[in-house]
Amino acid sequence: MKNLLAGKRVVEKAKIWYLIPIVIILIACVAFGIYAGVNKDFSSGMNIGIDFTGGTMVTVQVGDKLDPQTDRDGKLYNQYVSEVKTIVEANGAKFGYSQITGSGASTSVVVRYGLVDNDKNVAIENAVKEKYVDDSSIEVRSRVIGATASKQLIATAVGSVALSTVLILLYIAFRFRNLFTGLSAVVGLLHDVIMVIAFTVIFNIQINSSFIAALITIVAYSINNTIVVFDRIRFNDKSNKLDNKQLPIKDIANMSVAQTLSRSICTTITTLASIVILAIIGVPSIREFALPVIFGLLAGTFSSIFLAPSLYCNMLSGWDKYSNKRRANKLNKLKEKKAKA
Amino acid sequence: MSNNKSKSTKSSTGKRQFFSKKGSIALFAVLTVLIVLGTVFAFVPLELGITDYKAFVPSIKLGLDLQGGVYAVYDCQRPTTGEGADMTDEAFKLAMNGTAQNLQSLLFSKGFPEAQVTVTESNNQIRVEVPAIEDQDEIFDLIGRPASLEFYETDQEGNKVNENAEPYITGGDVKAANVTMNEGKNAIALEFTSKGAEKFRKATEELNGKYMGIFINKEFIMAPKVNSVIADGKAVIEGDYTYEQAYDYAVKIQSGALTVKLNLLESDTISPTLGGSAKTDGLIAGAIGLLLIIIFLIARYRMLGVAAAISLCYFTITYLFFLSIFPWVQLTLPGIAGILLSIGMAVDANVIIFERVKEQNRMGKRLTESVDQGFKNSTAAILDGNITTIIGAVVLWLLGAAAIKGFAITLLIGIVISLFSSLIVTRLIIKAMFAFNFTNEKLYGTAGAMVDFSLDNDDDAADTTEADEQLAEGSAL
Repeated sequence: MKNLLAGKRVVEKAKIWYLIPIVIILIACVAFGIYAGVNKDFSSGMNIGIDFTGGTMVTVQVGDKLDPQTDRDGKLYNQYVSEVKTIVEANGAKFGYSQITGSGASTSVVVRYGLVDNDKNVAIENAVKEKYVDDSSIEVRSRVIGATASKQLIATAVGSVALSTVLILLYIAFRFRNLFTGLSAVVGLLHDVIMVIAFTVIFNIQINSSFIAALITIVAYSINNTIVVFDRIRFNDKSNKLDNKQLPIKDIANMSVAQTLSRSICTTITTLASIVILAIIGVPSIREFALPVIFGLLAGTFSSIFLAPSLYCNMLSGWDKYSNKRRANKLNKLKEKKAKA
Repeated sequence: MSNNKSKSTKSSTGKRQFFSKKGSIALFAVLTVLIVLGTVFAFVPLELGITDYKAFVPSIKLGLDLQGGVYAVYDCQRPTTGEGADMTDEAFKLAMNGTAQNLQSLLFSKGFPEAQVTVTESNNQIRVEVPAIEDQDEIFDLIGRPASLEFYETDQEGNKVNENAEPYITGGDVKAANVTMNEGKNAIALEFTSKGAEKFRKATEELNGKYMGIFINKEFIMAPKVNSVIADGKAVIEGDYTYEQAYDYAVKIQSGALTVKLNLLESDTISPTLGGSAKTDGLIAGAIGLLLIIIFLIARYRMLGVAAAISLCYFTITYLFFLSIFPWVQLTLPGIAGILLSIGMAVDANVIIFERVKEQNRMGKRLTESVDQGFKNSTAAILDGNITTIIGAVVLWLLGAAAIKGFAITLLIGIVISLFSSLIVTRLIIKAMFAFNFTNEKLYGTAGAMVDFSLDNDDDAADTTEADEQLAEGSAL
């Protein structure tokens, strides 16, 4: 394997690395506008699922013949689900989950669909009843249900991720004796989270409570990548000082990025392996979870190689310019004072 | 091992002779037995004469999406008597949500982080779904039959002293009831809300030396004697209870400790929302993923890869084992995906180390010394990376809602085991390999030309500006 970044100047191309996420965010905004426009509803810009909105549960009590013991291969069950699903979607509601409840005579198919107004709920219930009107043994019920992802769940998820981000920032700043390392690592982390959200909007993937889990997973894993690169910068910086070479930090960063490149790629491959297979073989709701994670892992690889080190160098040089200016100003003022005196 | 390429110092060469051939054979034998037996115990149920052994992987508890469970729907009502009977609609909604939270934390404490408690405000219903149980009655064993809880003055047998008295304490005043140990005996610990604590102080003042009868659903449960005035909102009910009795009482009191009254409307079993195949999909993806990772490791790192692959198998089995014994682990689909990711991440530490080993080797160091240096130089990065993840997981565990706590504990277990297997097990295996004189560098794929990392000069951005030079000086900060 040839090292593609060996000898390349990465951090000097910072503008490109900043531009790429901005372009993706813009595309996501446009996609949001299109989805909202097509549905003539602002909230449709994102495909928010039933876990957050709540919705309605239609119960079709079929009885014995649907009992898992009788309907072993689930053929009959699948048939009922797809029939109800067709009705739900024809009325413009979002299909959520389906499952079987009970056993024996009380065995029922339960289909949950997303929040719609009351008229539509009635229309759907009537349409399902109409569908099975010939079979007197089938009983249809409909019931409104609240959101399973409670406000508390979301609030504590956001709160704890925010707090852990701050703690991680402090830890890195402490370990690397340098606030800019922590800051750029955390910006890289935010970038990964924003990219996951952006891609989810662009591909209109349904957002359910598993999406929160996907975001937390990304937060947990992506900082790791960045740390490996910064650890190398720390190491090279130290040997640079020991050898009295006085290489500029940009050169050190470029070298470190290149040296850790094959590790970054290898780890991306090993972490992606299972999750990609899961996305390929899984049912749609599995893909709903796997795809955001895949986006996050790819975004994490990008940010740890290109974004965070560039940002770090820019912050350092910015800070240097600022402190030099301040020093110069102070000197000038002192000189002025002396001159006056 | 008389390669003169080495630039190593004597002290670091001396350490390496730790493993004899016999010791190495023993190590490989133990690891092989552990992994093979572990795999068997993980997946194959055995009939061992008297007892049937259940494989531990299928005994890992799963969430509603993968395993299904039991649901119960409750109708919420305002309490008919006492405090709360005149709640406004807004206060009632708050009380309903509070009750749902209480139920959620009750279920969490019983080891069901993935249970779902859903409030539907439009029809005043609370829906409880508990995964991984099969019997409707089990849901009531867990959360009791939520009902009213009242404390009155009684005699020892539970006869009320004054039939028309208002209760001293009602459900909403009790925060939690748990089993505890007091002077070596099982006891029931009660914790009151701040409002309840004040009420309880008054009650114990008035009833000091008398009996306080506890009623659930108007039914007498017990009448502990009040021995002192309790002002801190924490009480312990002592008695000659077995653990089961104390537990049963605690559940009963806890289930009455709700601000709204719950009437059971219906309850039945539910099948997994993702269908039965999701679990199998996860296992297949994991198995294929593991295989791909092993192939990749061996192709890229040869013998080092073999060592990493062995410790990866060890990691996977150990991880699954710990997941099956930890009470707060309940896997949903995201949990399974988290495990798949940690399998990928478990090799990350080894990848970091091996890339370092390669570098050292190509710089002309001897293989054995390259390995030592590789481990040494990578430890900081590996620890820093994992500690940040541990910080995140601990915060999620402390602050997160029930389902997130479960996720955090899964993550934590994974990190700890992966650190152990990648830093210690892998290293032992590599050292054992060296004992067989497996030091031919071709076997390790580490030989090769050094990569030149010096920078291109013809690059567009190569013109080093003044700022950069200042930067080099100021980079120590």
